[in-house]
Amino acid sequence: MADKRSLRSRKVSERMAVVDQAERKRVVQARLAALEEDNHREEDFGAGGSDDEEFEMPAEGSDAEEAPASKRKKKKVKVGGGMRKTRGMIAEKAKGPKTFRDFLEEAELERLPEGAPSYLTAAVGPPRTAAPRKFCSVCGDMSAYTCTRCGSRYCSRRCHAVHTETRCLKFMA
Amino acid sequence: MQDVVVIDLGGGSVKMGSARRPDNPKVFPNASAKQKGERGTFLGEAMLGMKDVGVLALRRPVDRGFVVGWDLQREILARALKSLLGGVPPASCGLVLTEPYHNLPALREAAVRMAFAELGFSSVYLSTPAPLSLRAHAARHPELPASQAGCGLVVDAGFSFTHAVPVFDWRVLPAAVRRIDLGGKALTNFMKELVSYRSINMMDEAYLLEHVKEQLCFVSQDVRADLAAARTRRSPHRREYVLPDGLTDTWGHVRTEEEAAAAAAAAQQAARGGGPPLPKQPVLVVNNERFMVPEALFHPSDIGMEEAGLAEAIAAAVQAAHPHLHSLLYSNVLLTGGTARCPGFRERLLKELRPLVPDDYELNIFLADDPALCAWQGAALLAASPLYSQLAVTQKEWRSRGAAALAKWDQ
Repeated sequence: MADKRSLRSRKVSERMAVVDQAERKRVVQARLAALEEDNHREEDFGAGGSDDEEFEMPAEGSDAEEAPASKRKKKKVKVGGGMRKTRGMIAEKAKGPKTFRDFLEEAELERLPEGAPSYLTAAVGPPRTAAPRKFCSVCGDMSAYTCTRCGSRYCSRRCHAVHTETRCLKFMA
Repeated sequence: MQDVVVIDLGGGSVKMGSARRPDNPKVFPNASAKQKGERGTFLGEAMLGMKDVGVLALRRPVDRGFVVGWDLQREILARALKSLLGGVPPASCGLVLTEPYHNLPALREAAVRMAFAELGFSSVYLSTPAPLSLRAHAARHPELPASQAGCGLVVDAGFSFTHAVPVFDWRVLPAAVRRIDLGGKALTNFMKELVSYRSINMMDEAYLLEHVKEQLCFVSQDVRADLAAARTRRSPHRREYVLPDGLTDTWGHVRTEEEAAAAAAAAQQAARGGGPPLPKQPVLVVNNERFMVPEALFHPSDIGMEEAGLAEAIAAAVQAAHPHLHSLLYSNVLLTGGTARCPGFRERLLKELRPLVPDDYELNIFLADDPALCAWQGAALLAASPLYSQLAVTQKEWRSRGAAALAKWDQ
């Protein structure tokens, strides 16, 4: 069905729409993943996940040091006109150095006999003795309220104002 | 007897030294750093001499607690070894090296390969840190019954993750190890995120923030009360951290009361006299972040992580061990790892763990004298004892039997 509203009202309503559970979960995961990063990367959590056209930055491992070297190499290849790069090679390069997840997958721990101790069995699992506590996402204090749009916590009108101005709109529905 | 080099290969820092000199291991970051706009790279030990620690691009060989960047790791170690050994060839030395709990076979082989083929040691012993820490602890407290049995629960609160590790007869009970995927690095990044949102943007200053965290964070004994106190106008938890000025003060420092008073007086003077406004010293204001950051380790669910907290992890680890060991394990809980240095850590853990432990069990929690170095010290003890030659695999064995030669470490 064609949407008859104007482009602007469509855009605005998209922005005001309530962020669904799946998206909220994704944002939390992205934030947790960011805690394991060594260097800050400019993509911020909450920017729409499935944008195909968006330009993808090369993976983390390829640091600034390497960049000029690889540029030089590329030029050489062009001049010489030799070596073709297969898609596999390019994909491999874009992935950067192997991460722990790659090694973990390769180790195929799922195929160990039932009950054998491994990295996977050592995970502590969800908490059983305490419910999650709720803290204001702005000032860190105890919070009593939840943002109706994105589900973040806040404790006062002041913090709510700060929240809507800064973080809330970063969530894309 | 041959010399043995001891390396505790942590995700955050490498602890390296000779077993003959157990008092002064080197400690340096396990990373390489590049300053923005500069060409040179600081590798491992060289990072200690940096004059400017702002906006660094860090590269770490360790990802989620496991060494994956072996090229970088080898370079960092080789560089430091050269200065440690002087002219002595590594071929005349043995090596004790730590590995993560539940190491993957491929990564363990890579470590052994590095030790023999690239660093050139004559023999090597790989161990997880927990039993080593327990050895250092037992040497200090020989009177404990658990020390004699080589038994205890080691909490290893490291840089990449936190483990509760039951040990019996100096061996890890692998099926009972419990892991929380939160360590010093995640806490630093969490703090970075909080202060960047509330005070000054520090998103590119992870290395500096680590230092700030170590100086200012503490574990709260009563979160509600501390939060209420932090909310007040004259918060007892509020601190100002003067950021490095790039000239004399490499790391910055916590602003003392005199400094704050002097700055306030000077500002007042300037306002009254109408003189030129003083250049403002950039300060990072921290308040409840000081205890809300370590809090995440006790309740990871606070930051949206569906994992149990430290106390519960310890209880789960003990529960998974043989029932006969429970009382012995609870009687000897040892806190190690850099994160355990946080003030108040032990007291808070005691408070949270006691309700989870059956009341007829004795519960003793020990904080290692130097939590970050504890494993290294235990490894140095082991390296200096005759036990080393029994446990180590020699270069010859490795060459003739390959990975099969390493199987003896798992028994």
